[in-house]
Order: sequence, then C-alpha cells, then structure tokens
Amino acid sequence: MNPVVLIFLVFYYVVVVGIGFWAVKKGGAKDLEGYLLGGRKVGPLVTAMTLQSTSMSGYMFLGGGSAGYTTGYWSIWYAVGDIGGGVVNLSVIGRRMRKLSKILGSLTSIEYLEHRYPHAATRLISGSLSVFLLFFYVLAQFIAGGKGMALVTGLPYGAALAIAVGIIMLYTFMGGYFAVAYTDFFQSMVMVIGMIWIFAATMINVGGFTAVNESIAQIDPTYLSIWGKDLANQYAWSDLLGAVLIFSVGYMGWPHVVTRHMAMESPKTARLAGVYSTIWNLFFVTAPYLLGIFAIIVLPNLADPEMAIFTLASELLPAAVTGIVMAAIMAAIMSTADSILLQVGTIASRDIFQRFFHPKATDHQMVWVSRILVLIFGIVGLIIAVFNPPGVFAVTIFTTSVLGSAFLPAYVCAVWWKKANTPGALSSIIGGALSAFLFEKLGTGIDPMLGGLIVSWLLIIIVSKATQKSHPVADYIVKAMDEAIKIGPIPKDMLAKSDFNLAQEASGINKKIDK
Amino acid sequence: MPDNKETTSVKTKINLIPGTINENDAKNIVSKYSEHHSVQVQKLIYYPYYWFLFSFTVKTLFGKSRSTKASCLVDLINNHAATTDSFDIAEKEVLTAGILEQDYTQEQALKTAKTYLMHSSIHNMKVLFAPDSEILKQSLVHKPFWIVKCTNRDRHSFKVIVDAVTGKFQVL
Repeated sequence: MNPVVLIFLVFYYVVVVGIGFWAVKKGGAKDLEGYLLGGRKVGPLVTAMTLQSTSMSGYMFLGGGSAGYTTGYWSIWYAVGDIGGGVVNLSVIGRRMRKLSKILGSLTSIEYLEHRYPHAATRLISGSLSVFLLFFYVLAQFIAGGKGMALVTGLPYGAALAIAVGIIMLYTFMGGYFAVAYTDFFQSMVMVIGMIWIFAATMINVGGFTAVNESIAQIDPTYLSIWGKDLANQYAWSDLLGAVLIFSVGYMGWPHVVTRHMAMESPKTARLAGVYSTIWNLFFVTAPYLLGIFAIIVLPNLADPEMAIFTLASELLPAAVTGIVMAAIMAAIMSTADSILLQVGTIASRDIFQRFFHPKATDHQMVWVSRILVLIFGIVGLIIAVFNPPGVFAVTIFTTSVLGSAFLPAYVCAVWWKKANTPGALSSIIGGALSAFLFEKLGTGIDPMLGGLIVSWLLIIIVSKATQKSHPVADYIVKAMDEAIKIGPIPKDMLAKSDFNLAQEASGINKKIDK
Repeated sequence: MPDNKETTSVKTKINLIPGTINENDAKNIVSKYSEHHSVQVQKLIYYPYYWFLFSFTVKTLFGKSRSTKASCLVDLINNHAATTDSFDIAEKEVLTAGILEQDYTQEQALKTAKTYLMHSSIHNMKVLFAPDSEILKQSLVHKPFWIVKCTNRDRHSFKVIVDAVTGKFQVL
C-alpha cells in the first residue's frame, strides 16, 4: 500500500461527496432544473462530457487492458467496432426512435417496446431479461472496483471488494438533485485527465509505437498480428465479425443506451452528437487496448492481465498521479454502476412490479421497490464477486452479446419495418437471447454475438411474415411510423431542423385533422 | 342553426400562452428551409394542455434538498407530459374553430404529470428517494401554432406546424 496513492484516492472521494453535499444545500441554477427534469440541457461541453464519460466503465480499464495484454493487436477489432458504434447507433435507430417514442408517449425503452409491439409479454420478457443481464454488467463493475481497491489499499481482495461495493452503493443512494450534474461533470474531467496522463506516461516509457512493436516482435511476433497471439483466431471470420459487431451494433440492445435516443433535440443535434462521439472514441476507446499492448513490454510477468492498466499506473507514475489515475478508474466504475443500478431499479419497479403485480402502486412504493432491489443486487453481486468472480472482459462481452442479440432486431425493425409485429418481436427477443447464450456455452466455434444476431433476425422476419394475417400491426402504429419516417417531397434541411419535441403536437394535430 | 360564416366567427375566451411569432414570421421561418416551394400560412390553431406548477423536494443522504419548482405541460390530445420553461398566461378571446378539442381530463392529466415528474427525478437526478411534490398552480392553457402549407412545382405538398411561442417547427 502506498499512502500517497491512498490519500489521493480518499481526497477524490471527499471531493465527490463534498460536491454532492454543497449542491444539495445550495440548490441549483435555473438551467439545471431543466437539465435534471429532462426539459433542457446544460451547456454543450457539460452535456457532451457527461454523456461520453458514462460510456466509460470498468470494462474499459480492466477488460480493454486485459484484451490488449493477452491477445495483442487482435483486441483492436473490439475498438474498431466501438469507434463507429455511436454513429451507427444514431443513424440506424436514433432519429426515428426519438420521434416514434415521442409520438407513442414512451418514457422508458422497455415501455417503448411494449407500445410498438403491444402485448403484456413484450414488457415482461424484455424487462426481466434486461434486469437479469444488467445485473451481470453491474457485477463486472463491482469486480473491477474490488480489484482496483485491493491494489491501492493492499487489503485482501474480499475486504477491498466490500469497500468498493459499499462506495458504489453509497454513491448510488447519494445521487439526487443538482449533485448529479456537478458530480458527473467532475467525474468525467477526472477520467479524461487520468486516461491522458497514463497513456502519455506509458507512451514515453515504451518509446513510441515503432519501439514498442519492435520489442513485442522479439517476445512473440504473433502479438502484432490481426489474428491474435499464436494466430489463435486465424481465419476465424466469425470471431472477427463478432468482435467488431459487439460494440458497433451490440450497444443497440442496451436499454440505458437506447433510452438516450429518446432525449435528442433535433436531427441536427443528433448528427453533431455522432461526430463528437466518434472524435472522442478515436482516443478514449482505443487507449485502454493500446495500454494493454504496451504492458506486454513494461510488465511481462503480470499474473492478472486485468490489472494491466492499474499496475502500469502504479509502476510508471509518481504516487500522487497514480492516485488521480486510480480515481479516474473508480470514477468510470462508479458513474457506470450507479446509472445501471438506477436503470435496473426503474425497469423492475415500473416495467415489472407496477405493470404486472401492483398497478395501483404509489410513487413511494415504487421507489421502495427500486431501493430494495438495488440493495439486493449489491448484496448478491458482492457474494458472487467474492466467491466466484468471473473476468470483467468475459462478463461484459457475454452481457453485450446476449442483450444485442435479443433486442437489436426488435429495435431496428420497430422504426424500419412496418410489418414487424408482436409475435415476430417476441420470438426474436427470446430466440436471440437463448441462442447467444447457447453459442457461448456450447462452444460451437460460432461467435455468440454473430450467431445470436442471425437467429434473432431470421425469427423476426419469418415469424412476422407468417403471422401477418393473425397479428397485423395496428393502424395507429403504422401511422405513427409514417410520421416518424416522414418521407415525401420534404426538403432535407426542413427535416434536419425540425424540432423532435413538437412530434407529439404534430401527431395530435394530425389526429384532429383526420377526424 | 347558424350558417357557416357565423360558426367560424364565434369566439371563446381561453387561457393562452401568448406567442410572438406572427403570420409573416411563420411564413419566413418555413420559407427559409423550403426553397423551390410556395409557402402559404393556412391558419392559427390553439393546442390544449393542462399546466401544473409543482414545488418539490428530494430527500438525500445529506438531508432534504431545497424546494424546486417544476413546470409541467400535459398534452390533452395525446396525454403526454413534458417539463417546460416558465411562460406567461393571458386570457384572450380567440376563434372557437381554431381551438382543438381536448381528449383527456384534468384528473388524467394530473396523473400523467406526476408519473412523468417521478420518472424524470429518478432518472435525471438519480434519486432513490421519492420526491415530495405539491401543486402550486394549475390551469387549462392553450398554445398557438401556425399551420403552414408548402407546395412544390409538381404540386406535391406537405404541412408544417410552427410553434407561435418559440418559432420551432415540425413537419405534419
């Protein structure tokens, strides 16, 4: 344990808690009220920083580094998909979904699925599946936090994990009011500084890309291959496609990512957001994988590859700076974990508990359900992470594969294919999740993401076509889709500048005109 | 039975969110983005909302937050809610024919507004504590929209609504 590192980490937590306390007591500026209540946004810098930083998680620092360390340049395939993921996501479903969800009046992504594919089973299955899989994603954050804390404090993993989970839970419950806007911004600043610092320090240490590649070639030239160490994935096109797909399109299955589309202002802002996210991703998405590759030279005998970035920081940086980098890693873990925990709480309370068990549940009862569930998740997650901790990389890839396979065709067809109906969507969600799971467990040689996606796409197309007569898509949904698509002799500029927020008024006026 | 002319000139008093965008402004806004189209302002309509001004506080681990005001408009045709900036309300007589009929009641609107605020506070404020809310003001209000028709050389046309308060628009 290095006391200076620990002091900096503790100082970081004190600042985060201090900001929360100050913000609650002070209240907030008027603009922040709008931001927090979903009406408006704070400045573009804060918005962009906050949004992008929430996509940085424990996976980036542990999973990304581990993939780079163990497979070499093969791991960059994951980054390739991720770099363009934001743009693909926004272009394919973002704009249309924003309008359709507004017209249908959906508040959550699960509710949106039920509105588009009307049946109670849509919400029950989608909600349960999301809660189950998001739990594993939270688990990955817990493990990442525990490992980091163990390195910093020198405590045994179990004790360090308990502290990390405690901090994450406290942070989740601490949320509230203006604290969120300020702490999110502060956390994102720490993440940016920490990542740039460790990357620059490692780059200087290894002497640049050419030097690092020459050194790696001496250890094992296959690290430099696009097929991975020992050419383990040579001509394994399924694995390669799966690696690219996982974060390029897999994100479309994440409920908390998809929900972001429902808050866009206009197609123009959506386009700008896509550009910003690509620029951001070029560095921040590739950096962890590259750091893992650099670590092959700096830390040739690392026992746990997931510790690559943590150990690089403690080996190469002065203690005080290591404390900042550790704080950045904890910031990524905490800001992801609390968002997912809240998302899970909402899905469980609103989409499952209120919808199916207690339709007259009061707001207070629903909040209690959320809170209890978050606590249960924390305790169960802690137990699993102590006794049988899976790898952060493996858990994240597995969760994304299953979520992507389950939901991607349903979300895409929701806005692009008017014949996609409820039986088609349900069979695709169930079949996609199940097949991705089986491809993973049975080890067929087919990448779970790729296999799962093929199955779920086939199911939504075949079942929707086969059941068109018995389960036609309701007229009001087709009409809403037409409004969301808005094809016809409309100038592009006009569509680009249209305000998404007026979509529901446009729908209301159309209803009255039709009458 | 009144004739058509009388019907269209009948006026009703409503609580209006006054707009500053006049007919000419609406035409200019749409014309800017629809070159090669002939632009024609068709009419002014009044869209019904129920407006609630809530005051609410949230319990946090650091104690109760200061009370905050949240202004919420519920669209009475779709029953969807949204938070909004503060605005003025003026009582005004307008042509009855331009007022869109509401499909939802105040009671339904209140339920929708509360659900929406609850959802927003949990998600955007990341709270696991239910906010305590109180209604400070409420009223049935109408917002003016211009309906503008654009026609191209091939006589294909489309319509646009222009928010007479903000000048923002959306294709119908």
